[in-house]
Parts: sequence; C-alpha cells; structure tokens
Amino acid sequence: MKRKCETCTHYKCFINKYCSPEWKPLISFHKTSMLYPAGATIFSAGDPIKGIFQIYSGKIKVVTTDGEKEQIIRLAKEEQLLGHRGLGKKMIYPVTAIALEDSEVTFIPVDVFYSAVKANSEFAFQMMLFYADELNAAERRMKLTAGLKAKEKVIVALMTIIRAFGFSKTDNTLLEYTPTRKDIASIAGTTYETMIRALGSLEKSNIIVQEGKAIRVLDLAYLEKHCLLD
Amino acid sequence: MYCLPDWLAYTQNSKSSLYLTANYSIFNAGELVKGIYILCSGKAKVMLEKETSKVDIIRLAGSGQVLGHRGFSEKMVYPISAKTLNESEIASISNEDFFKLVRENKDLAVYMMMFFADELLLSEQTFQISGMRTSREKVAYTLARVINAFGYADNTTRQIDFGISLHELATFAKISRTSFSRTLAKFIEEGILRKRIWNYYVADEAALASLAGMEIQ
Repeated sequence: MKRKCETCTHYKCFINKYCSPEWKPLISFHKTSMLYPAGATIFSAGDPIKGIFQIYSGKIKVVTTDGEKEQIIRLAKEEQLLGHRGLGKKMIYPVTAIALEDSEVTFIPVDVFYSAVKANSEFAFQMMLFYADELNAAERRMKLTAGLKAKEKVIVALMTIIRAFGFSKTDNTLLEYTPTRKDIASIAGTTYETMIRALGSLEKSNIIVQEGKAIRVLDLAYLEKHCLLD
Repeated sequence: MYCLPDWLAYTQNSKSSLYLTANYSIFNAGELVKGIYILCSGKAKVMLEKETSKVDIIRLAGSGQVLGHRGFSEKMVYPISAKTLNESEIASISNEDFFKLVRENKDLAVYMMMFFADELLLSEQTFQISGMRTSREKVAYTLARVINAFGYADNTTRQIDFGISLHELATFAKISRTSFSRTLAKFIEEGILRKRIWNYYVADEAALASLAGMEIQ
C-alpha cells in the first residue's frame, strides 16, 4: 500500500513535522511500504545501508548480537525511525530490527533521505537532536549495565517497555504490549532464569501481577522510583 | 568547511578561546550545558563515571574535534566529564549561537547529524568492547581509537601518538595494564607493530584494523 506523507496523520513523524510541504510529495514518490509478520527481520546487522525505515504501524525490537547472545537495545512503535544507526562513515547497519508483531514499515532510499535532510534545515537540526538523545540513552545504558542488581535491571526493562508502548487504552494498568519473557531478559541484559526470579519477587511485593503472558503493573510509582535509568 | 561566509564571521565574533593546562576539567558530569567546545590544539579525554564509582574513558579527542555535544538532550546536562590530557586551546560557542549556526547552515546541520550518527556507533562499539572475546581485539580497538582521535605523530613512519598513559589506555581497553603491555609485545612479535626506544609504530595497518573491527583513518 502506498503511504503518502502529504496526507499522513502521523503528526509526531519527523518528516511530517519538519519537512516543507514541497518536499512531502517528493518523499512519497520514492517511499515504499512493506508488511512484516511477527518475527520477520526488517534489516540485519552487517547489511549495507540502503535507506531509512519508518514504522507505520506495529512494534519492532532493535537488537545487537554477540554470538548467540541477543541484547535488545531499543523498542519502537509507529511514527518512529529505524536504521538511522547505520548512517555515518561506514554505511552499514550495526544492529538488526525484528518485528514483534505484524507491522507495516515504510522505506525511504538513502539518497532521498539525505536530499530531504539537506534541503530542510529544521529537519536536519531535529535529526541532530534525535541522535543526541539516542547517544545519551545508549550511554545511560552503558553506565548502568555494570552496576545494577538483577532486580534493578528488570525494573529498568519494565520501564523501557512502558515508555515505549504504554498501557492498554481499555485497561490502564495492563501493559499495551508484553514482550516474551525471553525478550524481557534481553532488554534487562540478564539470563532468563534470573529475570523470572526478579519478576516473581516483584509480584510477591505486589508491584506487578503476571496474567499469563501479560503483565499488569500495580505500583507504577515504585517502578518509576526504582528505575535507575533516569 | 560547513558554514556560509557570513556565518563564519559571526562565529569568529561570538566564540571565546581558552588556554588550558594539562589535566584541567573542561566540564563535569551533572553540570548544565552552556555550549559546545572545539579543541583547537591539544588532547582531551572524555570520561563516564559508573555507579560503581569506577571511571571509564569513553573517548579521546584531538585537535579539531568537538567536545560537549553529548549534553544536547532534553535535560541539557552533561552526562560525562572532559579533561585535557596536555596543554590545550579550546574554543567555546554558547548554546544559543551554536543552535543558530546549525539551523542557518544546512551543510553544518547535515555534518552534525552524521557526526552524532558516528558517535552513536562508536559509543556502542565501546560498550561492546567488554563483550569482545580476546585482549588482542580490545588492544587493537583501543589503538585504532587512539590513532583516529590523535592521528599519527608521523604519517610516514606511522608512529602512534599515544598522548595518554599506558595505564589509562588499559582502562579504555578494560583490561589490566600487564595484559595491555603483553599484547603490545605480541603485536610486535607478529609484525603488526614495531617499537623503537619508547615509541610504537604501526607496521601492518590492515591487520590492526581487521583485529579492531574498525577502519583506521
């Protein structure tokens, strides 16, 4: 399905917000859209950069892998960019993006993206600030990894999920999307067993409730207070 | 390179220059961001204090490089500290002037975006250094970062301009100083490095870059 920037209602999207009206049809002309089923790979670490992706709908995880060990470094949803980590001198994607659920992702070829950035200075300025925030987030993660206890890491993982996807619109304590337990361990940077124990301990303290695969948060204030990522 | 001529004159008038001694704190983690710094001459290190009160060197910067850009986020607070390694001259540009410059000079805006993209990639590579399997990879990566930050002391002989103590290099590589020295000796044996008196030279740049997993520029 063709997605047009000029009629798009994704108002948080950088292109919608910061590109001039003249540029939107031009981007739309070159933009393509793809449907990815849950578990499908959008791009893989090591692939040469062909362009920038934007999530139209769905949820995506961005992972780095070291041998068989996978670490989730970002969770993203609609209106967010993917593949920007590959821009730079090397022009290779350093990370892999995988759909967490059925997702529609648009693709803008890299030369079109560059031309849009060059022609729209506010877009370039906001992209710079976006990268600055990503850099800060990456280094906060780096700062914490060494010093945190398992339970604290799991709290950080839960807050990462809450900040990325929020709560259900019809049930405001139930996570809008609960990743698999394996993925929660990958976000926390712990083993599966350690993460299961930490979730159990939080449940025992009435901070969360595990309802099958889903997680309900009973004490958000506790999680916010003990999330050492901030 | 990236500013329009009118804006170059504007920058010339709005920037201020500072002459700093070695080991001088340029800014500290937790301080409010007042502007951006450009290292006109000299060398600096950027440090991240961990919860464990351990300090990691996360970046080395040489002449012509930008410092303080990590503070540009919603909070506008420096997440890291920067110190000079030797006598340095630093130019500072206030936040207001810098933002004005980036907004008005498209090429500068694109350059800054790409610069941040590279910094993000480097930062994550530094993070992954702890996950690297061998001391050889860690030492090669550290040497590549030193060369890319400071350049060679002599381009013809490829003499490495360390500008930082072996102890600090070992901290950057996240291995002990003994391990670092032992690996340097192995690199000499294998013909990757050469040593003359106290100086180290890169003998096989391709082998070093391949071990480091990054290009040497």
